[in-house]
Amino acid sequence: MKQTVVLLLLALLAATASSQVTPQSCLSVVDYRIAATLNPSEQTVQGKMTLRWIHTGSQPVSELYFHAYPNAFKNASSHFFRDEARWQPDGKALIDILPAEELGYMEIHSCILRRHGSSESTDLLPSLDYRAPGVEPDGDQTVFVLELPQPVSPGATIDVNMDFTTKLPKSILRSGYHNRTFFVSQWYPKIGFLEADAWHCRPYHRDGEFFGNFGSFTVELIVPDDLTVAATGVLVDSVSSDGITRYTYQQDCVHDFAWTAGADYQVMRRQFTFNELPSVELILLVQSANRSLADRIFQATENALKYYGLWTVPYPYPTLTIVDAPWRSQIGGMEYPTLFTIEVTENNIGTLDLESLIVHECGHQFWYGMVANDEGRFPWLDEGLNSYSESRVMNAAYGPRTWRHTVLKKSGFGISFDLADVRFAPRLQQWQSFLPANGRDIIDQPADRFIDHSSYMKNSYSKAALVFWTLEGVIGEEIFTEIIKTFSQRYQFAHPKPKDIFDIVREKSPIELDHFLEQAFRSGARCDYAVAEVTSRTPLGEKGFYGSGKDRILKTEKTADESFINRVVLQRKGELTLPVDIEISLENGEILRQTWDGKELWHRIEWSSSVAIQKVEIDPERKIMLDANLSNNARYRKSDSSAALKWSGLWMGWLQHLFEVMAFFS
Amino acid sequence: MSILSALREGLALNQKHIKIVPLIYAVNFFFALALAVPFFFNLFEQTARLGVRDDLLRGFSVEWWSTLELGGDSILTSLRPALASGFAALFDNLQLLLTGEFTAFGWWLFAFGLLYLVVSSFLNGGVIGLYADEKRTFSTSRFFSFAGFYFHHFIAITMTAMLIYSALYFLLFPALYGLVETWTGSWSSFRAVWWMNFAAFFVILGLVLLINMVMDYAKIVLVVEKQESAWMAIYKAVRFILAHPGGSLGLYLLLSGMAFALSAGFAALITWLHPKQVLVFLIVFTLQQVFITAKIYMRLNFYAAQHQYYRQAQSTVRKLRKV
Repeated sequence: MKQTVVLLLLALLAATASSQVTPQSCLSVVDYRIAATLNPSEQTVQGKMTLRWIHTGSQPVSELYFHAYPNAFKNASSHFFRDEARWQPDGKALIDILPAEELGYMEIHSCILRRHGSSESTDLLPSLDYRAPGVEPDGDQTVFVLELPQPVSPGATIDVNMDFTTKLPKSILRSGYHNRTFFVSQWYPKIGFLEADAWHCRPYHRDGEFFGNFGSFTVELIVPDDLTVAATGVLVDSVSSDGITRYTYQQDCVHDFAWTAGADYQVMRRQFTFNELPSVELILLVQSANRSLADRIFQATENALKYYGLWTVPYPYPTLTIVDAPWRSQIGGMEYPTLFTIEVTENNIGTLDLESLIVHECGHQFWYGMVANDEGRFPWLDEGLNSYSESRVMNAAYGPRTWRHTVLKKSGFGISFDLADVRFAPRLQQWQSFLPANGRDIIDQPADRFIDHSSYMKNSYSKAALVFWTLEGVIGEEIFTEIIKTFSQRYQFAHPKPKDIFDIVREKSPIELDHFLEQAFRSGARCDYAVAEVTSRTPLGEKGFYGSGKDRILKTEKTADESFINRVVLQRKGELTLPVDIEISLENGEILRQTWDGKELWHRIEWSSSVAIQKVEIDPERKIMLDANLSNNARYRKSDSSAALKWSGLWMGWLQHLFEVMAFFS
Repeated sequence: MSILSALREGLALNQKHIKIVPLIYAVNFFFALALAVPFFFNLFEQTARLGVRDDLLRGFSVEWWSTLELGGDSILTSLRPALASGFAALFDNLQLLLTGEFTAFGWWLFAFGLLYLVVSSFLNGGVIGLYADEKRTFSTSRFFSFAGFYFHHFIAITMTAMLIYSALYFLLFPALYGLVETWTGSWSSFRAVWWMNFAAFFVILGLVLLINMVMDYAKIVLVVEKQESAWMAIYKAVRFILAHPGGSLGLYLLLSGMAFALSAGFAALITWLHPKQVLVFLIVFTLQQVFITAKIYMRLNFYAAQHQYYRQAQSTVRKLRKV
């Protein structure tokens, strides 16, 4: 009886799922049906997969490209390990540290092609070759190609049946096993993306994430009973016998499928509802030790669903699964369709960094999950938009951050204090992160082309987010929200490119921004506007020889009236140009506002007035978050020593104490 | 002799020579002032006209500090948000004791710190010389006379201590952390690892304090026993501690507890005060000076109480020998 009720509930949930997202909601190019058996002792997944693929191009296709991502962890020849080694020229490469038996791989055992409506089948395995489109084979085996005996015509549908084994690595990056937890992502042969009759099937690099065709997934997971399971999509069936449970998950209109099975998970559920937004069942798999954090995790997820839902498109799937990955598992924070992972660590538990992580990964359900740009070619498009959205949500939901100072720090452990007097906007963290990378690289380039890993992160995430913050500042929050809403609506379940968002900016922006977009995304142009000079002096008056000949008179005393010649000099110290606001505060409390187009190297404002200037501020509302030096944005005419005195005093007190610490050794 | 009576007698001895406290405080103050003056002018030049001065007066400017930090190793970079909090600043300094990262705040400060260390060694000779002097009245000339007389021995003790501390910081502690890391490498709870690291800090703190105690007694032995060799004084200090482990350790821990309570009380007060207005800042600055004075007084109490303990313990031994 109990099982019947569960099945009825599951069926109801599945029906709800189909009422929200159907195969018709998107251009469904693929239909994966996979039966996967987890062997925990061997850390392997045995898979039997049927892929139905629709050729949506315009030219016949004579080869099929597939990702074999687990081979990224197969040997030292993979791009992944080579990238890792390249960025640690002085240290030990990752592959040198890892025991060989802890590596992973994928093996294809059979590969049969069937054309739709035909009983004829062809064995494609003999034609399998490891190479990526347009790239000479170089030892990396994360992409393979299958030669077709006959080309597939446009509009035709084919079925490819594959048997494969994925040996999970001891969790290296996002995927693998850790004690009795198995996180299985990028684990099945995933067909490449055909666009404009060209295959896009990028090898697995250290940097850059994933991309695929929208379609349906029906996956049966065969797992020992003692492991708790969660996966992309909706659980539509679950049958247990002989210590094994078969879970069937189904989801339409997603472009990937990930799952996990673990012994230490506790499952908690909560229903997200907010006004007109669709209700979503939140499923949290939390580590037993982190049970007390469940409320924080749910709350942050709900904040993300709410604000992203309001600013972009509502989350359309019936479930969202949050997986709290084991500490030190390397699974970290990562996004998959209808599922994301987080990792609670000593560094994020005590701060809003945990909420930031949750909001960020949940936000990828929108920027990546639904608006699915190629994360390899245009990593900034989803990461930048998502980082911008994340800090916007954090600001809206949690307000300014408090500075946290950690002492007695060793290997990330220490005692932390919140410094209540030191508060800052969440986006300032992105600004701080971008500063050292300013001008080092360009944003708009493939993920594997950055000078190093840090540059990839700082440009694709932080700097791109700051460009969006700057855009929001320059054209206004309302219009910018309209831009991202339009972008998300127009490209929901689609694969946009940078041009697509630029077009919408062009369409909606009241000012011309092409030059700025080009500079910001495709050059290393720096931005720094400064107030260089603020003076109010009495007019020169008259002194010296005046007139000529007989009429020449000598004035020995300067004559002047009571007025001031006010002068402000503004400077553009970077190459990036934008219109900037200027706020001039006069001594009588009056405030004058102006706008400078920001194009010249400097701009002088000079006028005569009965009131002297008190302070001048450029970009007073901090609209231009790309400005690399925000502290030269405001300048007073007169100096004041109070701040310097206060901090010198505090510093001296600390120094006296420091000297007494030194005296301890005497 | 009981720990408490040594403490009581030490306090009385310290009280008799209370004039040493302002003398050492003045050295501390002027040492810090020598750096604080250029620091002030540097900070003034950078912020006096900029809008960030408002943020700095209210709290702190993360924007300004981030740009400053990126700029390099100006002495200003040792200014940081932590100084706004009493606890964070104190723990920053405690961290130095446990990690030996003395150059963390820049080479300039480290160089001045070393100089202060040398001067402290010199002053310690005066302090213990006066404590051990039978006349037991304070005189500036006798203070400096003792300081000069014992300087070469005291600096030898300080250098020996520095060598031992260096061995701890650069050999033993990395090995200990390596051990902790290996041991906890497969632990699945960061909370447990956190406690393990914390325990390691306590072990380190214990070792650092133990060496400090040995060196304190070495200085006392050197003066009281009129030793000619610093190393022999260290050897005798070790023997004394081994002969009186409960008393010497108990007294040291009692004094350490008092010093810790003083620091924690001050830190709590500063954190609670939030120096945002000029008047509050002036109060905070005054409190800082009171705290430093109290801290110097506490440091002298260590010497005075341990000196009394040593003398009493030795006299008991002599009496027993006579019997």
